[in-house]
Amino acid sequence: MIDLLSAILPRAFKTKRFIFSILIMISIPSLIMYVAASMDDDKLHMDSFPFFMNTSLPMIIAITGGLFISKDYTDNTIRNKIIVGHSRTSIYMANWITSVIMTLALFAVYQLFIFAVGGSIFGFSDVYELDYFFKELLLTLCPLITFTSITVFICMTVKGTSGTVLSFMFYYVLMMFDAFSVFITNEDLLHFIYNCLLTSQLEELQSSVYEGMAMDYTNFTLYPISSLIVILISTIGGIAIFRKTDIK
Amino acid sequence: MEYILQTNKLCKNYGKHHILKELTMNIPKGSIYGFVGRNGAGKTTLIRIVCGLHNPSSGSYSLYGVNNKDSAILAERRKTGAVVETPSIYPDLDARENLRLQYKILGLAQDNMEDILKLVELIDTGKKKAKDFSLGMRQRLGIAFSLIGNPDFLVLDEPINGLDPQGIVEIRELLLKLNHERGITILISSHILDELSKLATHYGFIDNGTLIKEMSAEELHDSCRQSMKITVNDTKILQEVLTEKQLEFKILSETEAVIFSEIEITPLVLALHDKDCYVVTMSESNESLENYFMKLVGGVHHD
Repeated sequence: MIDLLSAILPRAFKTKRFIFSILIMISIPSLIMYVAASMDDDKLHMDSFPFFMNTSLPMIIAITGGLFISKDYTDNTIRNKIIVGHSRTSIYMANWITSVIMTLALFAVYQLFIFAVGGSIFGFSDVYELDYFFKELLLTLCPLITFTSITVFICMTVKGTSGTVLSFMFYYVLMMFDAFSVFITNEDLLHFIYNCLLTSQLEELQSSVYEGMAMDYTNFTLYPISSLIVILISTIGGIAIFRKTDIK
Repeated sequence: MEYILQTNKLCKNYGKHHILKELTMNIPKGSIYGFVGRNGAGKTTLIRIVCGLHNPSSGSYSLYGVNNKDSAILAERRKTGAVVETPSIYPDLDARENLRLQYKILGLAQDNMEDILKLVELIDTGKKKAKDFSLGMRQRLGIAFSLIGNPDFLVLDEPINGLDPQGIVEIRELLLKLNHERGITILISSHILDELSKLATHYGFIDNGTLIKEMSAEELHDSCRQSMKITVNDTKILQEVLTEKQLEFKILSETEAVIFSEIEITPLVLALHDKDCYVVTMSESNESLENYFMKLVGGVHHD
């Protein structure tokens, strides 16, 4: 698998899609901060920005990670790995690791940009705690890595560009959970399901900063546990399906 | 005889469709094995199974003597190179970058990359992206991919499909060179039989998912060469007469024989008559590989 990673990783970071995604991760916050700066609001500080793109991130993950995997199928280059004797598990895991690293890299670029530019323009509020930021950061990584796992699962099992489209669709279907919640009468269950959904988690983490809400520390266990379960199920299931899949 | 690949009652089903039906084949080491069959006969499916791209529905195969269910087969695959249908190349990379990536995938040093590029005549392609290559160049790049890691076994699925005459000659010469100079065993599937006959040392004929005949090139040559099939009442007498006349022949049964040499019919019939042997039938045969194949699969099918 190390051979695979040493081949895949550098290529992943050189693709036009990844560079395009980096540009998006810089240009959208630039635009938002430009608009915010022009509002001349003294109460606006850099603390408002680190997580405000949370709900848009999965879309960018699907573009970068999803298309990177899908292209391997559309070019039939995935054959090159199987024919020379790499196990299907190694191929799947190499793609998973590459996608997660791409997600982390994109998120890191975004955060560094926000801190460097946002920090210098807006400064930090007096009440802002770095400890709070890191906790929120760790919690945000849970749904992001979960969505990356789901994207890898979909792309590796659907075997084509449609995998990326399905990842998109999957995210938006999850976002429509509220519409389905009318069928769940038990409020505790509803609340539990809501907290376990990665879309809700990203929304919560995004709005908690916007609205200056105190962080719900029970999330420190629920978010990672729910993420871990989904990551394990999607990865183990994905490998099992991929091992039995016929490749064109 | 040592075999590189052996399949044992290999089956592949897609739903209710049986693509391979208990297919058993043997590819001798050092051979160029021509895998002959019409479109949809199951050639590519078998190749995909052998390359690990498809899983067999039942049956098994062994590569270098290792069964496909054994995890050690992964190590054996490193000694195999393949081009399945279209070459699997990275279109946005040039020839060197393509090969470099494959070397990395294999975890090998790029020490013989230039030799491979020279061998497939892509050494002068410079920065030209693979997506801008001609079909022949792509095929050769695909073959270059398969040669990384010095494989002992090459699997090529329709490598001359869509190539111009010059491209076909180039690929043929390359394959012969690989077989003769490096001793690489080659499994090559095609339905262009005349071209295959210029390469193959062994043949496997597949029809409708079943291997209907497996033979060496010599055996095929004997079957296809110009000959006279003769039916007599006693081939022992026929054998005496033909030996006296120093003719090349093969006795098929007590009443049938095939004569390969050019013969004068009247003296032969008279000589046989003198020894109380009479001729029942005589028929000339001059089959092409194509005719032989058509005869094997029972004429033209319309699927």
